[in-house]
Amino acid sequence: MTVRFELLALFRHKAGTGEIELEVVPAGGRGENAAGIPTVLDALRCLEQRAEAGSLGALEGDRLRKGVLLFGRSPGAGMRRILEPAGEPLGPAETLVLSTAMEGG
Amino acid sequence: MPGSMHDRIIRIDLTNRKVSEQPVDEELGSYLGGMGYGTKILVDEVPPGVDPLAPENLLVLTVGPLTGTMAPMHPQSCVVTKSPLSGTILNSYAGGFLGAEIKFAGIDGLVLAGRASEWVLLLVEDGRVSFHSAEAVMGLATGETEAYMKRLFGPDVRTLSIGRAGEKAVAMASVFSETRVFGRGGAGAVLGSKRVKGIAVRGTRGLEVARPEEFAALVRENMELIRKACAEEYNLVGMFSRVGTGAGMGLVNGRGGLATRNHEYGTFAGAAEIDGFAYAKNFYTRPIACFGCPVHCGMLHTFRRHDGSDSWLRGPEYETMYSLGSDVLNGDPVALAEANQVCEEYGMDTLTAGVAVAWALEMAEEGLLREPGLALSFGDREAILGLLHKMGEREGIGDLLAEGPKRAAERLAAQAGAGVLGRAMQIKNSGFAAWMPRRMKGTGLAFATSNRGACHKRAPIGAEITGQIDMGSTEGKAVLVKEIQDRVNAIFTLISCRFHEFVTPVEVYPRLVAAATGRCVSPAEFLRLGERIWNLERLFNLGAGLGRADDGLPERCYEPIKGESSEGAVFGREEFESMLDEYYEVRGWDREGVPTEAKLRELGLASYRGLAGR
Repeated sequence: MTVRFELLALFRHKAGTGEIELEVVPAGGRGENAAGIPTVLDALRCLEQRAEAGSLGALEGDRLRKGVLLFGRSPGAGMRRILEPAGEPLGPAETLVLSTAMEGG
Repeated sequence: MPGSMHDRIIRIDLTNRKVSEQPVDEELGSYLGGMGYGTKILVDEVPPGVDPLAPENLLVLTVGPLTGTMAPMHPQSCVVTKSPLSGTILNSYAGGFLGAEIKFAGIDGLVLAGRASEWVLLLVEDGRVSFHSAEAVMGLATGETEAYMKRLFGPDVRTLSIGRAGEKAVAMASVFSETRVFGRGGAGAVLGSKRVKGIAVRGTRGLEVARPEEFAALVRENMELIRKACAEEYNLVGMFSRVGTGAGMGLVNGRGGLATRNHEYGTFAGAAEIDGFAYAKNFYTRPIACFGCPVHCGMLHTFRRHDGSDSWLRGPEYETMYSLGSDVLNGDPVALAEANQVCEEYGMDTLTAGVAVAWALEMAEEGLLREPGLALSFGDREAILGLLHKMGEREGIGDLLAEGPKRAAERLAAQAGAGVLGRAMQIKNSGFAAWMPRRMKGTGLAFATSNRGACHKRAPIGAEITGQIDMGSTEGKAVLVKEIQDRVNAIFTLISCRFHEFVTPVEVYPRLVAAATGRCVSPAEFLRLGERIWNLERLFNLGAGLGRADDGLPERCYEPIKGESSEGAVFGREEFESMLDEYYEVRGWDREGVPTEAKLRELGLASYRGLAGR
């Protein structure tokens, strides 16, 4: 399954690009769900292995590192915040958006 | 009991060159300091209908109970006055070192009244005030004025100054304090109306706190929280520490909420060229800290300007990356830094100035405005810099824009029709901060109801943009906005840096106050103080003639944002009005936004009821 990643803020600057597309397959373990469809965690692990300038450091074990924001962007359905990537199935044609935070003030 | 407040404010009657001392009585003391003192003094002494540039207006400069102490992230001082931009009561803040110096001078603030017969510089030295001619610095930029004061009075003074914009009563003129700015609302024009070009402060006195051991323990605890935040790679304050406030621009852009081309679009293709990471990567960067701040979010950069000269420039803050960047389609980091520098030199708020420029560029592209010698189009460096210069000088079209986006649009509307007014992205004539009300509806409500207009310091920005709550929903936002407005108002009595609260639980503030001053305030009383001040400000604004119609959004907010990532976000008129109704109800105000008698009694403000004039 081809997954598109959008990298924002610090992640964009770490990766040196704002977009990456990867072929993701279910990795087994906590990443796999019953339907055999890759999960968000599978996709993030795949991204971490692929990041050319070393790990993006978005994961700590199976969870997002503190301060990391993850969204799923689906055509026509807007963006959803994903808090727990393990076991979370990838939506059809869903882009995963990785970012760090922002505030006003 | 010794404490961190001196209970002494210096009053300067500029008309008669008289200086007096105002002791802080128990009633004023209950407002703790900062914007609390400033609001109380202004509301008690200035009739709401006064012309902001008349001698009868006051400019109150205050510090808070934690200013100058070891408490981290409390460097700021606060200006309260009636704004010539919005016609409302204004509170505006600057970091740096001035606040601590005022405290070391043995005072809790200055009240400037009247108007000097000739332009002056003021020296405040351990509470004594002297008047000096400003003749040599008239027409000079803020930085040049600061340098002159340091030569005249000594390198150890801390200063504030206005530039040519303040001298020329540009409505969004700001006040500069070395590397920091009292940006919003036109306090620079008020200082100019009083013929004060600059103030230098020197303090040599010590500062005590009421309970030193308890205070030191709280400070250690707080420092540890900040240290941990700064050490975390993905912590927002940590990123501010490394690259400045532009660290999160990518998120705003990615979520379709980065105002672009006068708020027509929500994404900007050039965002990654002008955000905090881009500046840190592409330009030599040196962080600068305010007094007692381990975060050092200010960034100095070296640039080669377009004319080939090299210089250090204070890097644009995030809000300016929007107002003189995406909103005017300027993706050139050097041109953006130059525009920021022009605003610094003239002493103009980059937000409202940028909003006025964006509006003018759109009007020019529609053939409704023109300026001889300038080809006015979005993204054109010469056009952007040229308009800023003209605003600072009040020349040509700049004289129109110098009145602020709403007033400029009202004047153009007389010839071009009311449609042009809906393209001026302002509330109460104060330019939108870097957020899109249609995309983030709680923030939209906060902008609309802000007492100083389009305020980003008291809005649910983080919760909405990071997806903690649904940014497109209106549900529960009225309650949320009220809570934030009251809480931040309370925190601004201490003049905590806005970023301090990002790492500090609100319960800590009353404990710090008690240990510093000996004054015990429960967390509930602390938050109630914020609400009381919010209502006092509202009464003043009502008395100044503002009302529900001024709590509205410009027409463009009722049209969908263009661009895929913005998902066509739009405010429905009824949706917004319904949110406003709910907000007034939550506040205990009537449908016109007037605080009810019961609410005023509850807040101990019954005696101020007549202030609203209705």
